[in-house]
Amino acid sequence: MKKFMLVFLIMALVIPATAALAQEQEPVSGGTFHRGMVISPRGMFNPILYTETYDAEVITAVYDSLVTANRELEIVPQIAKDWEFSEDGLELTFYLREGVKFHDGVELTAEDVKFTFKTILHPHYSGVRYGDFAVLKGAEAYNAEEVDYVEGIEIIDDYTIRFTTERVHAPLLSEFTYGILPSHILGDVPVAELEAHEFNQNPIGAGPFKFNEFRPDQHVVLDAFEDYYQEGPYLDRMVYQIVDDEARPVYLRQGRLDFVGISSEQIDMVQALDFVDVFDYEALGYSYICFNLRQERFDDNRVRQAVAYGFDRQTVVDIIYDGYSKVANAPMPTVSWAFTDEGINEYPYNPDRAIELMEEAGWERGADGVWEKEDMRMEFEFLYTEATRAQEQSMILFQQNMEDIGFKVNLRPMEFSAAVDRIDAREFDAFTLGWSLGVDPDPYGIWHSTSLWNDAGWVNERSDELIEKGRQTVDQEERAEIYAEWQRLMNEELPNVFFTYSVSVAAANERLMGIDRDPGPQGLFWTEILHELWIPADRQ
Amino acid sequence: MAEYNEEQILSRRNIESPWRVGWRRFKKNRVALLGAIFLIIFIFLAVFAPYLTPHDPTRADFLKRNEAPSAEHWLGTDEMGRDVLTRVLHGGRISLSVGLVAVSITMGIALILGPIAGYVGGFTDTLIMRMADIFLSFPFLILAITASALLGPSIYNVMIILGVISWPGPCRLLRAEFLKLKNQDFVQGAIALGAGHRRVILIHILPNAIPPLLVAATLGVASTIIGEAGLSFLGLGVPPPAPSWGNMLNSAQALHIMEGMPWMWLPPGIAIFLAVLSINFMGDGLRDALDPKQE
Amino acid sequence: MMTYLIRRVVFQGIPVLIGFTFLVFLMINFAPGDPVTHLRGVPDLDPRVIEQQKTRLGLDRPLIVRYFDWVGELLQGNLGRSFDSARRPVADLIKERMPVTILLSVSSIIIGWGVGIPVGIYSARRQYSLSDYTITFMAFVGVSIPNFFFGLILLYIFALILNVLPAGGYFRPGEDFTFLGMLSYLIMPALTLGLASIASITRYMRSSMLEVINQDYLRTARAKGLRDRVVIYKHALRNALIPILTLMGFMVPLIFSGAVITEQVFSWPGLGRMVIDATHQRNYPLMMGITLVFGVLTFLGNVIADIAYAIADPRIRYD
Repeated sequence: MKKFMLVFLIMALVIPATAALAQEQEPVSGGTFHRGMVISPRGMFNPILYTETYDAEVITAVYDSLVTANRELEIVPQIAKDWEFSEDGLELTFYLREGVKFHDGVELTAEDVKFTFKTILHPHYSGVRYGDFAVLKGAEAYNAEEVDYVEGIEIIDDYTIRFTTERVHAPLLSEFTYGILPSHILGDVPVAELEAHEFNQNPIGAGPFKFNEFRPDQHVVLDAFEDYYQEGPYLDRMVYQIVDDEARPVYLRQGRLDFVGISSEQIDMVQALDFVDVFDYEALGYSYICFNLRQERFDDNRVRQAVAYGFDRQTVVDIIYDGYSKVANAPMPTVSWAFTDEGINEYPYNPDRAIELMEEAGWERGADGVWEKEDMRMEFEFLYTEATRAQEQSMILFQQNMEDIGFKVNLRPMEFSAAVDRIDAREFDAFTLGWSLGVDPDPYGIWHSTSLWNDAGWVNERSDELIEKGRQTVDQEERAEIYAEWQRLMNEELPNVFFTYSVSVAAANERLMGIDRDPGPQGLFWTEILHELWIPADRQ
Repeated sequence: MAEYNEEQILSRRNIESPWRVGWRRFKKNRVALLGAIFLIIFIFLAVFAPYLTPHDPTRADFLKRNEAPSAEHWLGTDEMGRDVLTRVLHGGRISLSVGLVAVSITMGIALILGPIAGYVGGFTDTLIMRMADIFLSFPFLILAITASALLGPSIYNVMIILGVISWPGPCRLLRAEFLKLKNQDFVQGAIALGAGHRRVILIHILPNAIPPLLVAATLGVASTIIGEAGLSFLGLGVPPPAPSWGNMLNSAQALHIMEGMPWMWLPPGIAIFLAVLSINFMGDGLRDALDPKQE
Repeated sequence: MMTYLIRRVVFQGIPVLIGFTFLVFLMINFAPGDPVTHLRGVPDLDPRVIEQQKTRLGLDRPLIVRYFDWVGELLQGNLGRSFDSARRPVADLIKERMPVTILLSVSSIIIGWGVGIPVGIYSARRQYSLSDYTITFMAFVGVSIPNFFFGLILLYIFALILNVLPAGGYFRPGEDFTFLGMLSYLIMPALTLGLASIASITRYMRSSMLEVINQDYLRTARAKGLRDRVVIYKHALRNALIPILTLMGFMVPLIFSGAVITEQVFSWPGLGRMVIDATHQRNYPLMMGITLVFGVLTFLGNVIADIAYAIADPRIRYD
């Protein structure tokens, strides 16, 4: 199981880009698209309140947002046809399309946009997104109930809205990927009662699909929204079917699913079906091994480098994941525009180098071959959460590799909640987990020394400086350079031993048109293509 | 003196002990005997597992993963290149010890609470029996899931959970025996003659309550092995890399293994099946043999 | 009878329910981790939010107080709201899933009893014959297979290889509700869950029947020239069934336990799947709600067994 960075994870299922088969034919209307989902949504179909990715999948189809991200992780228009930053970077003005309608026929205007984001800042708001918008001018005063308006949200006219921030905040634009709520329905509901409102299970948005039915643990049914403001939707109906992860190949074989993510182990079975296409794409996230740097024995980057050299991560990628994974050496996914591999040490598997590094750091092998230094000993407990078979296997390889270079690892599998409890209390030696990331490369939330999620306890002035600078730089190229330097720093210091970038594999029935099947280095987000999907008339 | 002893021996020979009667009956039950023999073989294999194959049950070798059965690996290798035969043998060690330890825990609790309830009676009895009701009348898996969340996955916790959860059955059984025997003439006689409670319980009642308990314990081992497999399926059984039959069998959950690599799940499956079947046959035979009602 | 039932519910049912829910409450609360773990990873999260969320869920109150709060709410017919992000009423969540769990459990009971009783009788009537031995052996086999494994094999054969049954789940949207359709989803899970019951009922029925057959009054009846068939079905069966009925009470909790695993194997959208999830999420109100429902259903199972017992055996009077 992974630890999720929840913000934009909505679109975590990324599909590869470039030339498509679909272009050869003209799209036609009709048909039902069956999409597989391994875990049931909770039923919180509200873009400002949900916290789980499976709800997000549905929200993506039901609601549209001001802007969304494309396959290059660039922000592109959705409800907002255009936007502009002021010279000083403090003001962001959105120009909305006219004639965008909610599913009940009411037009979406700047009032709805204001309502959506103002609610997040409301003192009684029960969700977790306040931090994303706290930078807006007057947000704190409103949240502290000092005033009843937010200075930084300003309606210019029905189709123009301006947001003003206290300081320059580069990730701001990407925060506006949350769906827009209808103020004519929820405007009069007290914010404290929003959470329990039946609207959340009968949502109305302005997205390409209307909500029809939700049966927990069974399915979610959405119907085409005829008045959608963009092309399409061509599909009559979209069904999210909850299926057991191990049963996915059977459902595909029986033709009961058009699209589902599969595990790398299932690829062979699925590839044997001639009417199913398999493709892979890199997901926005990475896994890592975190040491508790509050313990003196781990607080030396040579020790962490020794672990990186001593752990045969390439074998994990090539053999355990069958190549559907990638060794990570810094905390920036390769799909991001901020990624760099310049000046990055790859720490290729080299146990001899690992041993040298330990000796340089002043450690000596004890009687049982385990490193010792003063009163310290390199034997530690290693937490990992109840995992997939592949993750399980990686851990066993890790333990063996470490034994070979004089580290004694005591593996301790734990339930996610229990592991997080230990990690939050900082009562751990080392653990492994993964992060799923948002569209914006800003690493503040995880890596700033003051962040809640700085589990390692890593404090580095230069890193903090770069992270803060990156946030305040609006120009993408300049920002990329700052993050490149930051990645080189992280790669040298290894506050975590970075493990792998995850690669997702998906299978699609060949009748599904409008998604690109050619594996490219970067993906295509669902939000951008849902309304463009179609099924040929003879196969509906 | 010598004469007296001899007489005693003679009389013993005439009145056969219930154990000998039982053994005589058990011998005649061929299925039960077969079960016992199989079980002895399983125990032998488990005890001597480390000497029977040259492989390490936990050391992974990724260059040899997913190999079909061959001369070197009679039952092939698993996803981590470990010898399946070796793991089945070692898995037997773990599964059987889980069974034995869990049942010992069960019997330990039952042996304390059952006699107290039956012998003391009154409010104590009511209290203990209500507790038993609570345990008996609820789906044990919910308790097991909660308990394993509480304790975390480890082989010892699996033993404790499976052991603690099944105490009410044997406890009731012991209580019933104690209630029955307490009022019988020979016990009342012993009490009248001034025998202390301890003596009455340990010498007069307990030995008579042992046979049904033994049957319950035997069958308990079987159901514990199945229980461990069930917990493994939910990810709450014996945690890897240590092999147990349950967690090995669980690999059949993956369709590609079920379909393409039967050597990984068939051996532990057969092992569980045969072991549980033998224990059940033996337990059933024991019941027939030790139950005085059967003539 | 009525007074008996009332006494049974008040003096036995309620204390047992309180005891069990309290036990589960203590265990789940002492388990490491808390219901706000899902906040982990929310970037730029204000530390205050974590405390706020805990307060909103009432986690800042002492343990015992929270238990009695729960009982208090329960007495007003309120099971509270689930702790997960959707915060839906626990009662709704249970109502959505209970019918399918009951459908599965009842079907498996019907399979278990429907097959077990006739086969047990058959086996008893032909004691020591080849078919008796075969049946007894098969019954042992039935209790010696872990039920998830049996389920997986069914799934493999009928869904994957033969492709005649759906690979789990329950009605798809747009699919018409038909009895045959329902059967196609139900048959494998019900068989998986019923397997152990078939086996044990067969064995109990066989030995219970044998005990009755060998009793004097039946020998007399036969000696008087009554036909075998009449003897068996009119006299013996009724008496042989009595001890089997008490079994039912014991088997209900076992069936629910089995349902947790079976639902997992076949993606059956019932309570069993939900309870596992609720535990991992430390979703206390939902845990407690499901626990209570299982408890009540089990207790009802026991009471029904008692009533059936009284009806079958006129000698038994509850008062």
